[in-house]
Amino acid sequence: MSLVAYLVVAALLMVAGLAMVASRRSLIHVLIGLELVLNASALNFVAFDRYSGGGQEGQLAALFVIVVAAAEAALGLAIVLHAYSSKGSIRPDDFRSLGDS
Amino acid sequence: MTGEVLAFSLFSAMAVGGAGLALFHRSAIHSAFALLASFLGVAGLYLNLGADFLAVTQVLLYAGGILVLYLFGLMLVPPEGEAPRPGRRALALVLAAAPVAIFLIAFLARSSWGDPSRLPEPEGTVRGIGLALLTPDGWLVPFEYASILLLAALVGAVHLARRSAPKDDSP
Amino acid sequence: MMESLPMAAWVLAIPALPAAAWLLLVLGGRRAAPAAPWLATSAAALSALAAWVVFLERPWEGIPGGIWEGPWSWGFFLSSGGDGIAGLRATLSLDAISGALLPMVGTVAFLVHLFSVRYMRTDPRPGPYFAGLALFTASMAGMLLVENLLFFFVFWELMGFCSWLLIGHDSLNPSSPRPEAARAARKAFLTTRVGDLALLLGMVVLWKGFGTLSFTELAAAGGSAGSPPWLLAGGGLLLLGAMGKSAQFPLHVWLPDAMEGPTPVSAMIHAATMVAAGVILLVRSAAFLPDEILLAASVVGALTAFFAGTVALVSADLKKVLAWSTISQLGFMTAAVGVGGPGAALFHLHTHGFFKAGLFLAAGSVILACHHRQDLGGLGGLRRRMPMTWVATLVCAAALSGLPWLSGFHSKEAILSLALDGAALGGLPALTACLLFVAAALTPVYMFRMVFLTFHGEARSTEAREASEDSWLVRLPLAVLTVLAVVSARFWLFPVEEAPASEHWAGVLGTTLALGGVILAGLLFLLPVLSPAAFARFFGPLTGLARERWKFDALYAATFPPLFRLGGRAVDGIDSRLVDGLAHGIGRMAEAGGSAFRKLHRGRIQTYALLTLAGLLLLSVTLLLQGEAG
Repeated sequence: MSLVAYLVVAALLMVAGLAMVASRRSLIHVLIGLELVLNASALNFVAFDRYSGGGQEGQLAALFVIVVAAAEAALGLAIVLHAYSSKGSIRPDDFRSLGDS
Repeated sequence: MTGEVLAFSLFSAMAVGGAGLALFHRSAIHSAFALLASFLGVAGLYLNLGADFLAVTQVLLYAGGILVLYLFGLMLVPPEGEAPRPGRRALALVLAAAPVAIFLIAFLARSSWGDPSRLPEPEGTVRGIGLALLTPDGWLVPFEYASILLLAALVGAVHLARRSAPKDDSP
Repeated sequence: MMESLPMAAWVLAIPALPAAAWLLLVLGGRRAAPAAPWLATSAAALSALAAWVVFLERPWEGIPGGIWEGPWSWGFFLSSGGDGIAGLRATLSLDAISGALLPMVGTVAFLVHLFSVRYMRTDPRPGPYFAGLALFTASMAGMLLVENLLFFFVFWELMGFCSWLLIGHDSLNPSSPRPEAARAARKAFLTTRVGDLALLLGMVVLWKGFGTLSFTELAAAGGSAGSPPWLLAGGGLLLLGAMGKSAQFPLHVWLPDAMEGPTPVSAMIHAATMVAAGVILLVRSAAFLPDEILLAASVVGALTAFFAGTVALVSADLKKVLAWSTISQLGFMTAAVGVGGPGAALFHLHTHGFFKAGLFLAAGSVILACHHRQDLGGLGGLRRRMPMTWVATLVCAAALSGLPWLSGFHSKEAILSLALDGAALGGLPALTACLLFVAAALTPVYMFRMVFLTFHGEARSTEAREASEDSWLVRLPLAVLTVLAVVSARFWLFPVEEAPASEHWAGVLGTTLALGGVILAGLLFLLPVLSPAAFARFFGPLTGLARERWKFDALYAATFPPLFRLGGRAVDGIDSRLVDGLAHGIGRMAEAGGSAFRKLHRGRIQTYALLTLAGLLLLSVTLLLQGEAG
């Protein structure tokens, strides 16, 4: 298998995640999309690490990505809960009191 | 077709298919389980790449921890069950697919990149990662930072979620 | 050309001490005010002392080129090898011109300072006054000590600024502000500004043409240049600058109004500093000015000398008579440069400096004694009450009139003989000579009219009846200047051009005219033999014309304000239509862009995510086009 194959998979994951972030009408879906994006980047790290020969820096970075993803998921879900209890909705479009109109 | 190619095909199909399902399915619960499939596929890809420790961590943390967190979240927030806005999703897909296409073109143009013939034999990584994480001139400091980050996230999440329950808490 | 440091220190002290006094007074502000009079005066005294030491040492003699240069120089920014272009180099340089004039400038400035200590005793703002006076002295000395037109111009402008400050000094008097003083200061500043602008443009032309602004190099280059059109233009602009500064027709209108300033300031401006600058500029540039410009200078000077003399004849104000006489004498000097006698012009500047300062300080003494009464109709009979002032005025007026054995006789005779020499050519030079001789005949008439009306006859006001001499601070400067008015021609060292053929006749004619003028003034104003009124009627409309200063002020008032209003309206139109339109257009563009971009910022985070995707697309396209993608 070549490196490119892994990179293509990572790119597809990334794109799916971004599309979720941009299009879904629920904050939980948005968070799921973010998880996909993070996974894609972690996969890129590991793949490059493997194909650049030697060392485990890429794997370590992926490990940290997982840590960040865990923190992000915990906080994100807490925010969603809070948002729901204060607005009664988890649609991203309902949260724009800083916006213009 | 060697075993490696077979495994890659299987796991990448799982990962990408799960992601696609999560993207397109209207139910949040289904999306979450599709995400589980995607996570497991990525874990398999990690195995394929010789990162055994990472694969196990992926399964444990993502599939075991984070996904459960999502399920709890979904249970606490009533599902609104709505589909993505069609126009917007089309736009998002076009905008997202175009860079991928471009990257694919670029990758294919340089197909010799990352020559698989010179790959070292995969070996166990647990010992190496453990040493790297716990030696002072290795990754010890980032490791400690990560633990602080997790602690802060934990406290923050508890605080946010707790304040939401009683409405008459401090303004 | 390095000299020993002591000489350089003496030379530097001449401008540096008053400048230091100025700096101290400005920095000291209100706290320094009580010390201001004596601080500035002692600085001026030491500066004058240094000027005399330099004068007696004459360091420039024996040096090839005749210019002593201080050990310091400052290359201007157009550097070519660290030292700057020679044509734009500031040096402390001393030549025969500066050496000859510095003692006069220093002495007069010092005496004016001394006189001011008494004259301004009751003034509520001594700090600014003496600071201005000190800066004035420093600028004049600095102007004499630079060898480069650019730096000459810097000091020239500084003097314009100082005169503006000092003429308008009374306008800020907290107890009795005088807006007339402010108006006069503004007029002086703006009128000389016309000349200054011309000088600036002339400098540009000369720099383009010669590639240098050093007077020596200009003089060396000018001789071979002939008179191409650009040199004519540059020279004409230079002449215009000198005319503005030295109050030559038709830019003379500011000097009579400048009488609003305190009287010692008038002495300073008229004798030692401000108006001398124009003459010095002409003298320094005489070597490269084309003949046409010199001819124009002679005509302008002669016309000014004559015209100002007629106005001085009918002025009803003590100081105004002196002001118009200064304009007339400056006309003599300008004409002298024009007829080929820069040395004679400087000589007259030198002698005139002493006796005109004496006359102004005497007028200041009269004004002090008569409680600011200065109209000739209200004076009279002061001879017995103020003998010292009377003698000073008499001697200085006689010197100004060119009576024999006094300093003014020598310098004026030099100018007249040169003019007479040129008159043989006919045409404009002859007209110049005629006008100068008529002006020379007018001088004693108006001077002695002033003397007789002020000091002789009956006292015509209570102030004049009760006048008395003031303290030694007033009398000492008067005494010194009286002596100098007699002897100043003896210590003149710059070579004066000679016209042997006409010298004799000019002397005879000049003396005859001077004596005749004095006698005529005596008959008119001292002895009741001739009636001034009948005399005025005899000249009919000419008298009226002179009384109205030949209507120049009215002419300017009628023409310039409408012109400026027209120009102002045009500029306003451009400003409000074009400039404002542009500014508003840009503003509206930003506004429109803002409201367009605002549509993107509705607070929908998913729109932002879409934009992020679009950015990703853009980035990847760019990378691909650069051939670096993947």
